[in-house]
Amino acid sequence: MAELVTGVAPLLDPTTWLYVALGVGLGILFGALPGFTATMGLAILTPLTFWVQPDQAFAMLFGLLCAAIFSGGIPAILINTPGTPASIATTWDGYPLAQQGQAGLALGINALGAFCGQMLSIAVLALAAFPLAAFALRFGPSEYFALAIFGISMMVSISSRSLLKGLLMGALGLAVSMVGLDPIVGYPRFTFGTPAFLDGISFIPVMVGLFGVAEVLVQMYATTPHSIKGPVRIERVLPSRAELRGLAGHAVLGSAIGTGVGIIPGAGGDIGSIIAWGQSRRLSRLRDRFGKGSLAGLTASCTAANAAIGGAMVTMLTLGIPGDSASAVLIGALLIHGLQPGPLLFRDHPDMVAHIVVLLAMASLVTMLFGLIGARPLARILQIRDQILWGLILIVCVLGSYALNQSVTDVWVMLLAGLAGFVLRKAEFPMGPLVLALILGPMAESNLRRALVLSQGDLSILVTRPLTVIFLLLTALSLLVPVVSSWRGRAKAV
Amino acid sequence: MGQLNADVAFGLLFAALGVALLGHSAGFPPGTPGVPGPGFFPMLVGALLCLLGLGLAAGSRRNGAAIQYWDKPWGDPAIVRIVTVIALLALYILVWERVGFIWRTPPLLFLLYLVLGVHWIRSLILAVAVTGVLAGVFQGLFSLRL
Repeated sequence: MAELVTGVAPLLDPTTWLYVALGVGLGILFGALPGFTATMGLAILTPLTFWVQPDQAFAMLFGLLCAAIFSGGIPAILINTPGTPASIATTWDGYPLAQQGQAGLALGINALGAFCGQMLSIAVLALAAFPLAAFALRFGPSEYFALAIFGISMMVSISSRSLLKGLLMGALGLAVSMVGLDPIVGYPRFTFGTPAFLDGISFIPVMVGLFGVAEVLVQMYATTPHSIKGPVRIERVLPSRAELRGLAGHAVLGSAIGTGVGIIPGAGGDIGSIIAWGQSRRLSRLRDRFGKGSLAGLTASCTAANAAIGGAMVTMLTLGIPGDSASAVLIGALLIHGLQPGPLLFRDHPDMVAHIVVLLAMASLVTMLFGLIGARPLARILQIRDQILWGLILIVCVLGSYALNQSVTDVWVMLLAGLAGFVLRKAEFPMGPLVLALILGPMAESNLRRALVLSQGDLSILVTRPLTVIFLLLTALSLLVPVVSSWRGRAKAV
Repeated sequence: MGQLNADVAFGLLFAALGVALLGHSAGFPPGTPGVPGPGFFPMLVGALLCLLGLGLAAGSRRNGAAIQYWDKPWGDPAIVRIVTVIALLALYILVWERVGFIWRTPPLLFLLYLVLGVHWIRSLILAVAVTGVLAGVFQGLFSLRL
């Protein structure tokens, strides 16, 4: 509780509010434009935040995350196209409402629902994270190794239809993470005589290349530039008191489901919002309205989509396991500011954890205000032409990858990663496991070797410590479930 | 470009990468059974890459799954655009240490926007405006020498 009290400090600093607002502004742009994602925005913004204080950096990053998930609902409502995967279910009632001339009200409910979902899940984060992290402090090297492998396996299992391709990307990420000095004895590996590689390949340029440049190249390949023409009419934005009273239950239900689903690694806002929409429909007296412009359906889906943010943060901050690609990028952002997500973060930097909780709440509040006050101008974001953004994103990727170490080698690494990402994505290889393995690789290797030193080379240490066994069993389960589901699917089809 | 079984090609490529990793790691200090050396983990990862790569190639061949990697001809505007953009970015990085930010960035942005199909007047305005904003943010706000 003392940490939470010190964490309130950012609330009193106007500069922090400004950084939150900046992050929210960027997040709205990345979330509202179909094809541009929260992950892409976070990947591009992360290296730029190196030059500001950690508080301010996280203010921008969490502002971007909260706003991007919220604003994914804007195109879902206005043009029936989800801006982010989390807002798929928002199209089901949001777009019919817009067609019925209630676009403004739908946008207003989206903003209020986002706030409600985010705040309730942040409350869960504040209450659950410290006890969970205290438990995780019992981990030794073998548990950390198993945890890193579990994290990568979760990302593999959710990222691709092909398990083999996900695993290959994970292995490739581990291979790239080994470039540089070996983490135990400092022996140079795979540097090919290049001094710039002695410190290893920084994950930031790789991340920027894979999620920024590669995404732009994929869009250039797949689509002809387009934009939405013509103004969108926005009428009443705020729901009436009676409407709010009727929607409160659906908001709480959506928030609870979204938070719960978000805590499960691999399951994010997309799954949470679909489940919440279904449950809300099941419990509603007006279930026939669902899918035809139901305010309750819209409320449940958008609160759940946004509640998954706080849920995912619980797992990411306490165990260091990301629930999705955006969380993987956030782990990278924390690392460049000297913070290793996981139980030690809570022991060594409890004040920073408290700051993160408060910053998330600030981001959520600013997002709602932007969403309500700016509903009319926000609708115009959809009119920005793709080419303008492509050019802007490419140059920011170049400068962002240079900014961290002021190294031109990093810019080459970014361009090569972008090109490799484009080629691999064309063959349907997922990028998430690559980036996560690159981040968690040193943790996995150093802890495996430490565990073996402790056990004098006896591999049975991996099967005799209960928590290690649990994580390794969960790893096996996370990899087997998609295979079994695929077999069952094929068997049914036959 | 014709049909190419991308999975077989990528599977073999990853298997070759795994073999290269194994070969290179064999030259690292071996360590002892109680204290694994710097080559221990790379060997594991190399073997994993090799096995998974061969698994992907074999599985794809067995299923006869041939996916069309390029669904556009080489001369397609999208391909030309992508190749030109990559070439422009590579050129930009090449001249990085010889030409100052203010001089190398507007031409890149102008050409980039032209290639992306933006009208030349708008490209010119965007190139100058974006350079100004970026210089202000990176050099003014972050005190970063570009």
